[in-house]
Amino acid sequence: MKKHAIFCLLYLISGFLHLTAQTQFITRNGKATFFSRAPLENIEASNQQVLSILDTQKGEIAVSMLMKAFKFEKALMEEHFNENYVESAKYPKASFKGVIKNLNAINFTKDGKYTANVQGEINIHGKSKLITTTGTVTIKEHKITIDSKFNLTVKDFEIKIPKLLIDNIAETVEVTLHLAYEPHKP
Amino acid sequence: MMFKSKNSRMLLGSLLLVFLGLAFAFGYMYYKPHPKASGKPADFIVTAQEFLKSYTEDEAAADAKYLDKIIEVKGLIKQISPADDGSMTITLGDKSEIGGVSAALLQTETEKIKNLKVGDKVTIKGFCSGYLMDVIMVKCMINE
Repeated sequence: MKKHAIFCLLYLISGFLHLTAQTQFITRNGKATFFSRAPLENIEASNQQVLSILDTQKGEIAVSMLMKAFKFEKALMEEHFNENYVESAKYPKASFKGVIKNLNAINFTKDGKYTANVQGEINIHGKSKLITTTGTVTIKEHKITIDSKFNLTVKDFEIKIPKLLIDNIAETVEVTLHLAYEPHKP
Repeated sequence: MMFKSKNSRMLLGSLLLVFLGLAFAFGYMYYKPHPKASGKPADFIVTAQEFLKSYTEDEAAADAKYLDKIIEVKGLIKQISPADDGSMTITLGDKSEIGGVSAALLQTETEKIKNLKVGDKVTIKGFCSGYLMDVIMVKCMINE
């Protein structure tokens, strides 16, 4: 009888732990950079105010950022980027919504490095595109970090670059994401 | 003969001038400085709560009013986070609320916020970039 009571209690505790286990994580200070390598000059910009929400139970990742929050070395590049290429006034945000395809291979409660296969839809300049990429999920002392690097083709998002500048701006840009999550308390 | 060479010298001189002018204009454009909030009066002075509220209530209307404008925001520090280029991002707002005002500070401000901590009251001046979960501000100065 006593044994039963203990089992019952343990069962209740484990059930309770399961219910309260953290499955939603957030970052508002994620970092996105893009790098364009071109014969005349390399262009790099970074945004350190990227919002991302990760659901470790469903394996869902959502990323959102403002185009106007990208920092460039030169003011002129920033102006061209916002006014001519991504048209920030019309399309202020870039976003990504996707799922981790190999969720079973990642143990979010055990320290380590895991490779996540991510598939989802990226939206830039008002145009959507399905992409498949990989990310490195690092778990360290219950902290989750996701790093990813992939290439995007400027043309896919109907971003027009004047012929005169074609040598100046690469047709593909390398995008890097660094997302260090914290538990999300809704 | 003399006339001709004088003429061509003048032509050469004016071409050189035009070229110098173009080079100067190009250099000026190419290296023109980033817009600065420093030394300019703010277009709007708001509290972090008011600023966030106008965005949560009507994002389009708030964008129409605040986007790219110089905003001075007063509020309590909710979070301080470093970026890897040595600059800092400060979030202002109420701890109980999910949103806030996220301000990316200029690199020149890093030294100034060394002694600041979560809960301190500060004034931030910078450009409004829009709204995600927080109102986003860039090129910010602190307690100017």
